[in-house]
Amino acid sequence: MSLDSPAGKPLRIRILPWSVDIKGRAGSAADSMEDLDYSAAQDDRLVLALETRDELALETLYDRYGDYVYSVCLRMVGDVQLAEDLTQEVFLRLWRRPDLYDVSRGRFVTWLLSVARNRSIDERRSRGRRFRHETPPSLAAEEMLSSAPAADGDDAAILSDERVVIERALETLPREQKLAIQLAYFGGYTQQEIALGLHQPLGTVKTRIRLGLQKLRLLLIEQREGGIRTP
Amino acid sequence: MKCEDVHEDIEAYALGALDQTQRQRVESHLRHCSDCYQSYRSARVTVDHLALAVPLYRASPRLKERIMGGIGSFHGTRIGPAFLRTKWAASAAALVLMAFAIGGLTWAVMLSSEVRQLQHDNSQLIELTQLDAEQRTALLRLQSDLSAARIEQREMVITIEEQASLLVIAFDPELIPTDLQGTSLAPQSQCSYVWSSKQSVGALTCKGLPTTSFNVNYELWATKGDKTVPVGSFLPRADGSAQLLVRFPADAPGPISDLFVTLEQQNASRSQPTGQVVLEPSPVQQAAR
Repeated sequence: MSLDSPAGKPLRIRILPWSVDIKGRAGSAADSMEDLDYSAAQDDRLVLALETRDELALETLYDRYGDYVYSVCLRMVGDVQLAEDLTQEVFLRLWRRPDLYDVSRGRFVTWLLSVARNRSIDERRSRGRRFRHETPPSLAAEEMLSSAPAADGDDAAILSDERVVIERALETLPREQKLAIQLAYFGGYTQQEIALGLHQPLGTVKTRIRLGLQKLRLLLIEQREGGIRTP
Repeated sequence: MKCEDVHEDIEAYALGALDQTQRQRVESHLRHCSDCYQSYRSARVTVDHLALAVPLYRASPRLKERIMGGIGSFHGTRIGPAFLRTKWAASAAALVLMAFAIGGLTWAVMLSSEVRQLQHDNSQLIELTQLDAEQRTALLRLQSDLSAARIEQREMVITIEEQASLLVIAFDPELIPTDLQGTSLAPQSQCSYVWSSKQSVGALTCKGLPTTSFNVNYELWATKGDKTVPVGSFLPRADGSAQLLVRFPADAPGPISDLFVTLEQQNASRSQPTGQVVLEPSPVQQAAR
């Protein structure tokens, strides 16, 4: 069940050519599109350009976040070919239905990566329990995956500061809490499955996840307010 | 459900770490609790940042080519903005409906024409049937009239033959006349019988005959030798007159010795007279014989 429109919550405002988004920017797709500086344009503006079938806008968004989408998919399914297929699906879906981006859900990149994650979870589930049984949650496996070498180059630089923030915040968490959160988020495991795989009581796993996310939230706020700012 | 019941699962829900039953339970509560929903939103923002911490790998350059090449195949699926697509789809649907409507109308017109033609044919068939019946009735009537005419013609021929015979008899110089006088049953009746030996034909002419009862005829008898034979039956006309042409068989032996008329039932045997004598030879002639 979607929680996009709960009682008493703000209405969803989609980015459509004839709409005005919550930041008050003019929403006309044709508005000064000829003068659009793609490399400097904000994500929302590029998504708006997708409504007019602007291929350059999609290419720009891929250049910014293609590696992230691919990495999330690869992290979750553990297969290069499958990760590429899923990445292609995510961007083609964005191309066909850019109006699905909900501004009220937050930034475009977090929405795009959540789409990639959800699609990867769906793929894993569609392949049945066999996939999961082959890769049971384990401390060694998760540590190996989480310590994989990062890609170098300039393409991912646009999010480098934010990566630093979240990585630092995660590093400050107790190891067990970080592991439980990573297994749930990147592994797609439930609390019961994590408890079973780590041979820990369910209550313990619940507490680790709850306390870990609460602490992570506070750390993110502190580190952002501490001077590291995103572009 | 109270907030305490779902409080410890809000973060796990934002992380997607609940099974289906637990997930539905939390969603049911969040729909009606704004405080818990705010907690969920905060946790969700944190969770969304986790993706940025993914170990970063560089995607193959071929992947970008695949994606940018793949969007070309989707150009055909979106002809224009949503409202234009809607209008286009509506126009297409309208065209299809119109085609169906025109087709249906044409079909209806064709059917109507066929029905009209069938009704016309049926009407003609009914007329032909009626005409045939009328013609058949007329034909039957004609056949009946023709049959009646034939009978009448035959009777006329007989009458003419009788008249001719009577004329022949009348001009025969050797006629042998016999007068018959009515008995007490018909005192006003008189008949005259003449016989032509040359022609072998006899003629009976009567007048003043009373009308007979139903199924009763006048019967003329002749006595030749020692036998009495029936000569012929006749009925009087409205004025009481009657005529009878008599042709004796060639083998009838001997001359006539006696003549008389009786009243006989139509279906009675003709071998012997059974009825009462109505006419008989006058006493003068009887005395002469």
